[in-house]
Amino acid sequence: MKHDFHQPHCPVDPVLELSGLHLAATPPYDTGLAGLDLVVRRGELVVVLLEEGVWRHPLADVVSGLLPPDAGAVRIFGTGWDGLSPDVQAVSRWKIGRVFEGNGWVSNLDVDENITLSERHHTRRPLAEIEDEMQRLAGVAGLDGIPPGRPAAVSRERLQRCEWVRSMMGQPWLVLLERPGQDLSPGWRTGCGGLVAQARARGAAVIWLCEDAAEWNDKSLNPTLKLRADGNTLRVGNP
Amino acid sequence: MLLISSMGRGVVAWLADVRHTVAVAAAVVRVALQPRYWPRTVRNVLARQILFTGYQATRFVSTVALLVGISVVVQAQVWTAALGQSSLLGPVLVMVIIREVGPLLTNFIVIARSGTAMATELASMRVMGETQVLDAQGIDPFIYLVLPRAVGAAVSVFCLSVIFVFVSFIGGFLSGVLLGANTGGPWLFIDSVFGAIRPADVFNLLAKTLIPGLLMGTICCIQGLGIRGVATEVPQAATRAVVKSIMAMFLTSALVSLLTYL
Repeated sequence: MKHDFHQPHCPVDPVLELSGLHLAATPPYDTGLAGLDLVVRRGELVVVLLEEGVWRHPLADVVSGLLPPDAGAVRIFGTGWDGLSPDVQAVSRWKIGRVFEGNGWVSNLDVDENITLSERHHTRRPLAEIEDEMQRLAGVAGLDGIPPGRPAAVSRERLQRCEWVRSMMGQPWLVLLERPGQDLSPGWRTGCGGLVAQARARGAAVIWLCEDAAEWNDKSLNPTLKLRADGNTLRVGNP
Repeated sequence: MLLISSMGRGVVAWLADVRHTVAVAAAVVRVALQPRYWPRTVRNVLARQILFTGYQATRFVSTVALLVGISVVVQAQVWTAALGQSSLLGPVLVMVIIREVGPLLTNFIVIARSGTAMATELASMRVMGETQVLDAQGIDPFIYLVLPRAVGAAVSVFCLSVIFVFVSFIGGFLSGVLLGANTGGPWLFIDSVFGAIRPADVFNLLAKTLIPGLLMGTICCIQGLGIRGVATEVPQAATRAVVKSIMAMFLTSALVSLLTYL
C-alpha cells in the first residue's frame, strides 16, 4: 500500500473496518471485545458509551494496531496491520490522532514539544509552521496559548485541552478520543466539539469513547452512529 | 548432577543474554547508518545525550585524569629516570594510560554517571506508559529512545577518553616539573609519548571506547525498557544495567587487548 500520507484525508474509504473482532479481557484492560463489526467512513463520528467502572477499554489500542485481537480483522486506511511493514505502520499511526485514557505525555519533554513531537518526527515541515498550527488549534480548543514547562507542572484541565490540540495536529485521518471530557469543566464541548467538526469537515473519521450519558446524547455533536458497551459487546442504540 | 545442570542452565541463560545484547547493539549500528532513521527529533535526543553523557562529564573526567596523571605519569618519569631507562617512558605511558587506564576509567565514570540515569529514566517511562504513548504516535521507541542513547554513549565515551589521555599526560608532565622530577623538557616528553604510539594503539583506543560505550547504552536501554511496568522494578533495572555494563566493559577490554597485542 502506497498512500500519500500528507493528504488532508484518507484516500481510502472506509477509513476503518473492524470485522468479527474478539479479544479476551486481560489486564491492564478492564473489558474485552466480542464479535465487534464496525465500519467507519470519511467524515463520520461514532460515539461509544462505556460502562461505569470500565477504566481501560482496549478499542483504541486494537484500532491503532498496538494490541492484536485474538480473532477478527482490523483494516486501517484500506489494509490490515499485519500487511504493513514496520515503517508504514509507524506512518499510519502518525495519521491517527488520539486523546489518551490516563497518562498521554512524555514527562521529559515540555508540553509544546509533546504536542509537536509527531509532526517534527514524521515531517520536514518548518518548525514555525508546526507551531502556528499548534497555536491555531489551541485557540479553537479554548486555550490562551500552550502552557510552558513539563506536563507535570500544568493543571489537568489545561493538559486535557492540550491533548485535544495534539490529537488534531497534522490533519489526522482518524481521531480516537478516549474520555476526552475527563478533567474538563462544563462547557468544554463548545471549543473541543469545534475541533471535531473541523476534522470531520476535512474528511477525518472520529471515534469518541465516553462514559457520560450527556456527552453520548449531545445532539450538537451530530454523530453518525451511537454505540454503547454492554460487557464485551458494543450495541447500537440508546441505553 | 543437579549442580552441573544448574550451572549449565546458568551458562545457557547468560549466553542467551549476551546474544540478545549483541543483536540489539548490531541493530543499533545497522539503523544508525541509515539517514532516514535520523529525523530531527532523534537528532535532538542524540544532542541531549551527548550533552549529558559527554559534555557535562568533562570536568569530572578531567579531574580524575589529572589525579591519575599526577600519580602515574610522575612515577613513570621518576622510575624510568632512576633506572636509566628514560627511553621507555613513552611506551610505558602509552601502555598504561592509552591502552588500559584511560578507556577503563572513562567507561566506569560514564556507566556510574549516565548508565544508571539512562536505565532509570527509561524504566520510569515504561512504568508511566510513555513508551506506548510514543508508539501510538508512530514513533518507534527503538528509533527514538534506544538509537540516540546508544550512539550518544559511544561517542561520549570516545571523546571523554581522548580528553582523559591528554589531561593526564599534560597534568602528569606539569606535576613532574613542579615536583622536580627529571622530565627532560616538554618536547622530549611529547616526542617520547607520541613516538611510542602505534596504529594498533589507535585501533585499541577506538575499540575500547566505542564498543563498550555502545554496549553500555544498549544494555541500559534493554534493562530500562525490559521491565513489566511496576515501579519497584525501576531500581532493580538500574542495578542490573550497571552490573552488566561493567561486565561487558571488562570482557570487551580483555578481548580487544588479546586481539590487538597478542
